[in-house]
Amino acid sequence: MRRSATGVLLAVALCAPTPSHAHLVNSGLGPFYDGALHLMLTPMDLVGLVTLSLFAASQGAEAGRLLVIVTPIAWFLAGAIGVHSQMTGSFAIAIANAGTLVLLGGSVALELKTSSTVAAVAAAVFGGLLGFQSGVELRAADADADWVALIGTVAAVLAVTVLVSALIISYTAFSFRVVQRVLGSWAAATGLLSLGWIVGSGGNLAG
Amino acid sequence: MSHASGSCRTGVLLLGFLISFLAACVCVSAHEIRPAYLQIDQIGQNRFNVLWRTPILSGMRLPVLLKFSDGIKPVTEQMERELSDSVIERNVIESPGELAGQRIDFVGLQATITDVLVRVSWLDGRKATEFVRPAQPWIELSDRQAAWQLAKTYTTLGIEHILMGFDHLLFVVGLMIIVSSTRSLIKTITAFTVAHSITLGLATLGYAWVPADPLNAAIALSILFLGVEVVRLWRGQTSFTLRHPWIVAFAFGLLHGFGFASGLTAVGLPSSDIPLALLAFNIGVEIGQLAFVLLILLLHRALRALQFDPPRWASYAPGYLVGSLGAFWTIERTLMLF
Repeated sequence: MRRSATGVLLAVALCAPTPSHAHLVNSGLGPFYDGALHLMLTPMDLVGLVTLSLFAASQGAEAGRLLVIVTPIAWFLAGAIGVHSQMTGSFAIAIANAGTLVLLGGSVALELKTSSTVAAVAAAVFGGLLGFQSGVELRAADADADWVALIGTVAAVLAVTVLVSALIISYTAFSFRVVQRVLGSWAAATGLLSLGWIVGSGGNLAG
Repeated sequence: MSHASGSCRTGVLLLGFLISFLAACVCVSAHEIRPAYLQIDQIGQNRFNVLWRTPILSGMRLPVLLKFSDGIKPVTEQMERELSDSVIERNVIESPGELAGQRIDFVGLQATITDVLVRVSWLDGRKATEFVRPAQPWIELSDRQAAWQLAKTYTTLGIEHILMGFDHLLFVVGLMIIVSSTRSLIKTITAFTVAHSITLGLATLGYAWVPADPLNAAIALSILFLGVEVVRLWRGQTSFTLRHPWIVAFAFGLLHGFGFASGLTAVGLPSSDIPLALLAFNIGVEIGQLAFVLLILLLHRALRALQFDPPRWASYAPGYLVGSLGAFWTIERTLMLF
């Protein structure tokens, strides 16, 4: 129990929303790969995306397919808006992201079943929220190459959603479902503690 | 991967991925993958020869200036020589004390996406080779380096070269589409690997040389060639390439190896570094290529698990992308010959 609590606290520390970084991670391979790596090294985005994939894929193959199509499109469109916006961060977006993480993580933990349409809407909304935040961060990081970096991020989003949802659909054993539920509860706890952190900091986190 | 259904599934898998890939190809085509090169050789107690080589791309030289620590002064006039692909500057500097531990800033490097290979050699035989990245455009010179650190430097260069070599990756994608089974895939990728390793070695050791412009046009032609074979596969026809893709992979792999070699030789590699650099660079290229192939295979399998039933155009898109980009690059690079 103590180990679980420590784990959740650690995850929250990693996932806590932070002001936009001044520099995009430098892979040495140009902005496309920088963007892809940005997703992998931004725990809040990655945890959110994996939780969304867990939620959608646990509704079945059709929802998994919708997820794979809807999420990258929503991410790209919202990311494009973020790249164009003058924001450096948003308290409201951070709250919405953490709140959605609680809802989706809770749904996975409770094995809630819903329709493919609801899963697709969740993919559009959460993918859009994460994409917007990502776009804002990319613009703040490198004004010249943010579009290419956004395309790299979307390619990584596509790869993660395809791989995670296929994994969930392929393995239906009881033990694997338990693992899914545990991951869902961890995501929900992370979202809940992030919410407390964001509210407690009174908007300072959002820059 | 059976011929028809295999390529169809591969098509699904590659569609979204390649759309991003295509956009990236267009957007990052200007990326300079040849690193700049700084060589510092000790010639006296506190005197050093400096060679600073910067790549030229589209007639533009790299806008990066060297700035040595205070106290280090040039003692000769700077000599400059412009080559077709780079600019070489030479001079002699004098350091008031030990050069090891001194800092060199690469002013302007942070605004580029070019790396700098820095090599320092001392009179007593010590050597150090390191990369400077745009994210940290300065270096503190060290006076010794373990062999594994040198190997790591060149392995990283190899990985970078293959991951930025979109034409090489697209050729591998083409091969993956036309192969008919996992066994054939392993055979084909192995043949490509063996072939490009041979010419990479020959070119780096100076036994063979192919001029860059015709080579690039030929590499583009190899991609276009695969595009044609993909169409032949869709039509249910067969050909020597479709029956024996590994032979074609080997033949064109020889060409691509010369392309890989340019990434290593463009920096003006010192002869004493060549054996280890060649081995480490080749390992880096193979790691990058294997990671790319594994990612494509994983995505392929994942899309099958998701039971995608794509529209016809979507399954054909990857083949058309291979052919179209191959044709575009062939025309573009052929025109550059004249």
